[in-house]
Amino acid sequence: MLSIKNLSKAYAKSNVYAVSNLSLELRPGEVVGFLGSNGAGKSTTLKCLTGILPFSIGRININGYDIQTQSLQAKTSLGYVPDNHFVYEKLTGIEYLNFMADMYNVPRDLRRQRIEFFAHKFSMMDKLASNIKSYSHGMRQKICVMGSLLHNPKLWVLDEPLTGLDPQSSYRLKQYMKEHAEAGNTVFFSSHVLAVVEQLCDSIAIIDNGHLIVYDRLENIKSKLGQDANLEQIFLKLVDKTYEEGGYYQA
Amino acid sequence: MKNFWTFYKLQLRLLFKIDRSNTQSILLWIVLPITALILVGFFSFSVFGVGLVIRAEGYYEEVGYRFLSPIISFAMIAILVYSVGFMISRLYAGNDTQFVLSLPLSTTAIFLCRLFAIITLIFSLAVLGLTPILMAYGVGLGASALYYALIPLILVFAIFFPLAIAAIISLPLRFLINYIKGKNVLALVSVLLLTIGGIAAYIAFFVIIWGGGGVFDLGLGGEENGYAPNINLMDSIMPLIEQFERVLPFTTLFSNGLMDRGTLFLNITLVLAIVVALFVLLYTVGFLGYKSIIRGSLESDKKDSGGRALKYKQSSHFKALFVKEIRDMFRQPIFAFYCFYGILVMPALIVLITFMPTFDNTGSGGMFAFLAMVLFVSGANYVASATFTKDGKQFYLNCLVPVPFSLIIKTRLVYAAIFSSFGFVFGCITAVVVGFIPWYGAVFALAFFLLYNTGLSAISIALDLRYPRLNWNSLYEGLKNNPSTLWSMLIAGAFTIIAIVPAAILYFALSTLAMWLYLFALAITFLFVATYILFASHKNSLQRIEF
Repeated sequence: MLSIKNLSKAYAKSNVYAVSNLSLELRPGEVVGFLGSNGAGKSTTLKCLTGILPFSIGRININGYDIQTQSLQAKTSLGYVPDNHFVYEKLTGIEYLNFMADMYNVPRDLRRQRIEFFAHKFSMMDKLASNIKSYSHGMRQKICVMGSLLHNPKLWVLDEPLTGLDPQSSYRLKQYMKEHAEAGNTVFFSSHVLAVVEQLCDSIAIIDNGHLIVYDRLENIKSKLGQDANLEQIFLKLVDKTYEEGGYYQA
Repeated sequence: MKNFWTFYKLQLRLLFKIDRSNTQSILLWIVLPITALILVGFFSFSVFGVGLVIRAEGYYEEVGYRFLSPIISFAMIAILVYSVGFMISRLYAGNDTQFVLSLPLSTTAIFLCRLFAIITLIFSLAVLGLTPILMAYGVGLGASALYYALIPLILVFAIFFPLAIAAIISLPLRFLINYIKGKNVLALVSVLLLTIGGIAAYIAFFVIIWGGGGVFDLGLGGEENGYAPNINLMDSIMPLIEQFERVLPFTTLFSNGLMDRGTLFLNITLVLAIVVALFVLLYTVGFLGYKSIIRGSLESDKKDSGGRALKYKQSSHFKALFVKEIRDMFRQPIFAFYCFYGILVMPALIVLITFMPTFDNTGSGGMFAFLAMVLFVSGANYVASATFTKDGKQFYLNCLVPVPFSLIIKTRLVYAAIFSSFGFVFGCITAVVVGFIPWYGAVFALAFFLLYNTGLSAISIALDLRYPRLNWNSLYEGLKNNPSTLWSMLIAGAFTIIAIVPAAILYFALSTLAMWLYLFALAITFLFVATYILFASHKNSLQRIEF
């Protein structure tokens, strides 16, 4: 579903690689968590794979299409929820959703059905006619999520999706992420909330200073790094050189 | 009939009622009467003065009642502006459609009640506004009793014409208004702009009448104050009156009747016939529009959401992107202001040029000044030069959506070219009215500007894609720091020189045809080069954008 091979990306005004030689293979039906410290390269990787950020080294294939050479076909297969929730705030919710549906060629009846379905799911039905500018942070997040799902993407990419959501919406989003994967699609999301990642994901990828240091199924990681350790301890053990097991807690 | 009367009274009550819970609405009701009072006071005083001067200088016979044409024309324009607002908000719109259709009233009766209520309101406002002005002019002029007797008929005439026009133009406007948020704020700003425009017109009026720039010097200061008594009232005021009579010939019916009593009956009959015809037009257009709107609102997809309908309309990529551009512009007041400024400044500058005391607009000077001004001012095309900058951090969506980036550029180019063309269209109309170019010259100029402006839009978009300012916190900051606009203006300035200097040489050395051939060749070349640069460079420019 998603294949990243030897991806390297350095920003124009920097000599440092934000992502270096990163390779990943995501299979259909999986929920994959993407972890890393601030500035580790998560968002850069997600922006590269969604076609937002150009890159010169490596290849990214989505649903069999190269994101650089067959970008339109590749983009048609993916839905993306950015971390900043920037949407056209001068549009109303329904105008934004119609715009996104037009971009992904979602027919009228189907879009109506899906918009209503997601609007009910995320309690947004009575907000759709309002300007996005008037939305709260969580509501903007929800409209972004809805916009990214209208075309039922094969690959659903979410950057920090649970930030700002109320408990009810957070629960529903997590449920839907699972349902979407169970329907044969792939869900790839970044998060700092390790408990959620642990609860939700089949596989986990951890990036540190632009390098992928772990990508495996959660149970495999645990069996290698300590069966009793939770994800937080595993993460810290892998990315924090100053961490010593139990050290933080003892201090 | 009883129902009709009751519903009519309800409509009146709704029209005159102030929404006390809405601050904007209260402000509007405070600003409106004050604005009207100031304007009526200004204009009553000035027309009284004009009347006095006409009488004092002995031009009663030649000018006298003919000055009614400018007065009636101005009144019609003012009524038209306000009528459009009422037509959109009170006649065609309304969230009570389903309720009123459930009442024991026919659609015709409902429409007539709404229409009569608006006519009542406009008539009341016109009586309050126009009567003092007409009375003041009559007193200044020393008009006959017949003049005062005809004032009610003048009022009816001055109201029905703009109302009929308003019924027609408010139909498409009603659909456009859907794209605008904060309609009360917009109405408030419009009223303020109208006030400023009115006062500017008043000052301009005095500049003409009292000879501020030597155009029409009555010598009121006398020779001892250094003013030559360059008095020629006929030469100065008559072109103004003739201009109005040419544009709106039917406004002369009253002056003709009053000046030649033999034709009074015929002229009054014509006035009444026109009023009846206008009412029929008003009713027919209005009713057809009303029926179509209520049918549309009842039969469209509806899903109640905060009282507003949700639409699930499918569009092509181009249309969806195009509509988004319109919404983006109209819903960001600061951006809309810059965009409209580029359009409105052209006719305004053309009019200003005519006020220059030494400027001769009758020869080729007017044409070249007009061409140069439009070419240069077209550079201030924010729709094109800030097309990506205005996206700011939302720019990522352009890269995310599965649509070729070239299509996004194409949409923005088409939109920028169409929107900015309004500027030179208004400019050409103004240039024809003030006599800078003949109407056939305007046709050539329109085609030339269309080619040039599309090319300039393309190069401005290419520049903005190359150097976008996306990391702004406020759009104003983004627009202010955007270098593309300055570059666009410099390119427009360079083009102006390259176009106008050889064109002037060709005009004087060869012929007008040679001049136009040169200008068209230049514009076509520019268009090709600019669009080539835009579409050839967009991938490279896009690669450079990192955010």
